[in-house]
Amino acid sequence: MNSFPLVSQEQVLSDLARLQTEMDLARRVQFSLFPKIPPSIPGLDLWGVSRPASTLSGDFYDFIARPNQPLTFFVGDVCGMGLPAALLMPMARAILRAEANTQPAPTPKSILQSANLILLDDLVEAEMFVTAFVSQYDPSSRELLYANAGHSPVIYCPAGGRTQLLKADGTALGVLRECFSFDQRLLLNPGDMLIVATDGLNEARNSRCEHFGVARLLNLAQRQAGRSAVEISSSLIQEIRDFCAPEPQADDQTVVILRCTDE
Amino acid sequence: MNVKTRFVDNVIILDLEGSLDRLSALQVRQAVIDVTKEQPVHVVVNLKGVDRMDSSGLSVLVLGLRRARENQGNFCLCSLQSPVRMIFELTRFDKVFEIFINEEDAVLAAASQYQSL
Repeated sequence: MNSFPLVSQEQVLSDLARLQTEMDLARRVQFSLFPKIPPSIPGLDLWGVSRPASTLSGDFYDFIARPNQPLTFFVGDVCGMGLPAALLMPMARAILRAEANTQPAPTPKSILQSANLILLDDLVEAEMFVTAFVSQYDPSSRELLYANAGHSPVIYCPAGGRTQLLKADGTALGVLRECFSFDQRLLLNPGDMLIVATDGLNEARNSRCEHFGVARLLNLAQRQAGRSAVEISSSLIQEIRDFCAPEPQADDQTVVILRCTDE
Repeated sequence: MNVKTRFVDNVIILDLEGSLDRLSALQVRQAVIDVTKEQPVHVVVNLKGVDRMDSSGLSVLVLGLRRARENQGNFCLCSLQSPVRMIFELTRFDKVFEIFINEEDAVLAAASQYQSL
């Protein structure tokens, strides 16, 4: 004999509708955390896009532009998908923003190290970690200062040269008390480009269980010379979508393009 | 994903075969939890049969490392295939784990630590 209380079909439908409404609201709130348009920086063509695999995303990116200060931007990925990652995403983003905005002399390394210590206990408890690429770009010197806590793929495309993967310098946030990240410098010349993506791009999979992979991503990046940042991001996303079709998108996909121009 | 467990001396070997990704992560997570229950526990994860791994797979291995350490144990990896090794290098997780070229070295390292406990 069934001892569970009977629930009417109307009640189930009502609960589902309420849940869907709440998820839609959550998505709207999360969407509002992403930049609407990138800031206008002299000599820089900048674009970012993020596509969640489901209603909510564990990926994030942000730009922080303040007068007379270098542009700070970051891209992050809360390991895991769906709701658990999406719950931690706003927290990770807020802490990185707060560190970038409140430290007296923030650098990518100092931002990541502080964020790691703040997030560590909660991430350990949640069995998760966050990969993050943090960077500061000074338009007057065209110098990019960056630190990378376990984030991949980051692709450097020098004008006329071969694309290359930039390895992380530190471990992901939430893994160890020390994250090892350090500041690295990259001088960007006109035509040089940096692509900071999340692993939802290279790990995208088609119906034959083939991954898009890093090699295809590098080849694709190599073919983008002369195009604008927005065109490049659209091209990357579309190529991956075509590769995977008809398989649905399985992981969040985020890409930020930073292209140095002649201005 | 094929998951097998065996003992070499006092070290538990977890043999994984297949793709260690979001599809297999839950299955491997349970295996990792099972083998890191005892105290002290020393585990070698043999990744010889793992051809691909993503961040979900890394997450499961981090869980195993944390649990082993909590139980005064060691958690080593060995026999990584090239695509898997590349992921560890790109993301700097090679700084987090003790990684060995072959199982014998990994077992030796885990067992020697075991004896010192």
